[in-house]
Amino acid sequence: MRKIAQLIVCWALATDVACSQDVIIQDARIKTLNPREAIEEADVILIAVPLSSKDLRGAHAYRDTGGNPIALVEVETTLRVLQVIKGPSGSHELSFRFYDSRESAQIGPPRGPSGDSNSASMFFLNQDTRGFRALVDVFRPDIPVDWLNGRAALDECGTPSQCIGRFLLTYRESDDATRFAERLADNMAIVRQVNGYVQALELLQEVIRNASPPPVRHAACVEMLRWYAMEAASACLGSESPAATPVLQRRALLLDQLKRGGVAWIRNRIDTHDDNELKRYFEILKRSDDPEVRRIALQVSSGAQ
Amino acid sequence: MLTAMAAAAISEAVSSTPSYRYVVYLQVEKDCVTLNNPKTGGPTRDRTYQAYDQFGDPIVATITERVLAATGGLSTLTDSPTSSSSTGRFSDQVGLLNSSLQVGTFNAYQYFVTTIPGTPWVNVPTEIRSAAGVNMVLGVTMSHWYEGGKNIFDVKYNGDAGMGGLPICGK
Repeated sequence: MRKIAQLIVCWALATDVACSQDVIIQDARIKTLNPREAIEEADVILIAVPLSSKDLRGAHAYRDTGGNPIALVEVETTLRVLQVIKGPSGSHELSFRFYDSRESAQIGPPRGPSGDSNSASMFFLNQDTRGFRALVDVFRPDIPVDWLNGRAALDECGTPSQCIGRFLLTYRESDDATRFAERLADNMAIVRQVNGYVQALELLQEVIRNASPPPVRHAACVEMLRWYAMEAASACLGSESPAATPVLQRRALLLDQLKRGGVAWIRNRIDTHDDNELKRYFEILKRSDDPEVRRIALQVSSGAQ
Repeated sequence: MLTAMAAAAISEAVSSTPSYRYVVYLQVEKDCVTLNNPKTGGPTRDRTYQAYDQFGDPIVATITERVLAATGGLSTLTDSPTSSSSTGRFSDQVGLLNSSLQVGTFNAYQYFVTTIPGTPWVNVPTEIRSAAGVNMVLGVTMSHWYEGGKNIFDVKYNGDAGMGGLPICGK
């Protein structure tokens, strides 16, 4: 009966989507984007704005967890490119393929192939014989950067990882302050994963230092106090934050751990074997406006030499 | 069962490596409603879970959800009943499709396991903290019905008040 209904729909619509529902595909990647791995795996990383999307064909794919195959639709999304972070530059427009799910209930991370039209995102794509395709399917293959008001140009920013860290944790005057502030908690988590403890701290310090507008500065202080209780500047602990007492309690606990654990504890905390990164971190602690933090940092770093 | 597994994993991690950072809990940091989610054609309840370590600091970890059907097997309501996030922050959207094929009440059970890459902390069931208390497993009830010619949707966690009193996301 289902087959007959499908044939009728196929005849009536005469589209690939309606006529190829039973194709079982092997190349669907039903998983979420892992930013750190995606930077390595992607052939192309770009900041772009989705312009349009069209269905190419219907298909089915098996989940990793087994069970009946699920229905998918292969879609093609066209992007207006604002900036290339990895891969060849030059194209102003680019299209990529993605397997979209439309028949299942939503339980899990947001689905793709993108956010709203005209809303900027960072896309991670592979190139194959048919063109570009998203690194993941069903779930969003992009990181929203919708505070960019149609402009992306970032000066020289180094490796793709460094560029991504800078993009996600740099506020510029042309940006939408409210949207930037709203995205900061998600972006902070991404930058911590991609760029590590120390670089994420340095970027966040820059946002706070750079006379950002109130919503941005407030959101940056909230993230600083959440992620970096020991390193946070007193400016963030002032009247702007109702959470000063628990932060100071966490700071005292961390300082006690630092005193007892020394350099080994720091290496574990900031997750690095890189001596330069360790040195940069000690410099940050030694510049702290909390004399107790400075004193213990000096004590531990001199013991390490 | 999950609580015992979590306690055993924490005990092992702490006894073998005292300075080890591990995930103690997931905090619900956002609970709001997207009124018209383009992916379902209706509202979804959007929650964000952040992993925290033993010092009360956010931690980078892989958070994987397990969505189970009432029968105990993995749910077939969703495309991926074991989806994950690698940043220590998990954005979850829950809602039925605005479709006549998904009318009624559907139940699922959701719990989370966490992994710290490069450590023995792998797929450890992790407790969830929210304003409603501490849970290892969330009972999720999704409803879609018609009333006066209108589509009505709701999503409840452990029988709470549902989407009615929640803020709109992004407001």
